[in-house]
Amino acid sequence: MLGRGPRLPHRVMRWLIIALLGLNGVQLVLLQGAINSSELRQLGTTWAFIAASAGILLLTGTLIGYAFWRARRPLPTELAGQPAPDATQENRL
Amino acid sequence: MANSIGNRLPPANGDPLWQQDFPINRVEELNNSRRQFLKFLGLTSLAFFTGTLGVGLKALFEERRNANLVAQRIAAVSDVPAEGWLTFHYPDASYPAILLRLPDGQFVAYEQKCTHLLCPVIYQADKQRIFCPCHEGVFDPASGRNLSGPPPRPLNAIRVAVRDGVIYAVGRVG
Repeated sequence: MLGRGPRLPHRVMRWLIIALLGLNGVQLVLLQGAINSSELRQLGTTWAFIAASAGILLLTGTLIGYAFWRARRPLPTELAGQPAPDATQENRL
Repeated sequence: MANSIGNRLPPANGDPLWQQDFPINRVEELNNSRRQFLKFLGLTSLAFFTGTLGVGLKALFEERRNANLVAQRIAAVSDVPAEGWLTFHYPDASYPAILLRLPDGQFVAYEQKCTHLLCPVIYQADKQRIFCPCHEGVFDPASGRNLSGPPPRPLNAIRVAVRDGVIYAVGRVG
């Protein structure tokens, strides 16, 4: 795989990672909220937190899936027969 | 044979001999690729969801269990002096609880676990408070509400009933 160009631009990858870190943080807060509401025996609130966490898990999977799907697509420059501008091992996804 | 294994000397940098034949780029091995980091973030998200779901299932289990609790004798009314308290277990031995007799003669009971870090709480009748000595959490004896200190929630209350001079625990509140 040496010589492959970066499938996702650095800028997109950076925001993807920041978004996923943020989503993980929100899930942590939801977990704490679920613990608190379950101790208060507010079962409805607990399940709302679970549903929100499931939604975020789905969103996380979608974002990662998009990144991997996008990584399989050739870059427009490669389609045109030109080498990728930044074809280094560490730059690929 | 200069290259036979028996005659080869260990490298000067202290690495074992086998690394000459199977070189590993340690710096590269320690680096995580962005692909690996994405996978890690995805697995973290899955772990958080699993934990949240586990909390919900545990709450559901507790809810069903609370619905089936039976009345349990705690003590006779005469066993608890005015502004006195005693400990008991409800619904089983893993749930310590305290029974208080308030100044107005009313009986209230709570789980004896501080809602901060589960330390056992005590009743201080002279200060009219339930106190957690671990981190100085204070609760209202009449309602169990958290008044000061680190506890984030009120104490879990237990329903009590007095019948024929005997105090019973009849269920959990909430």
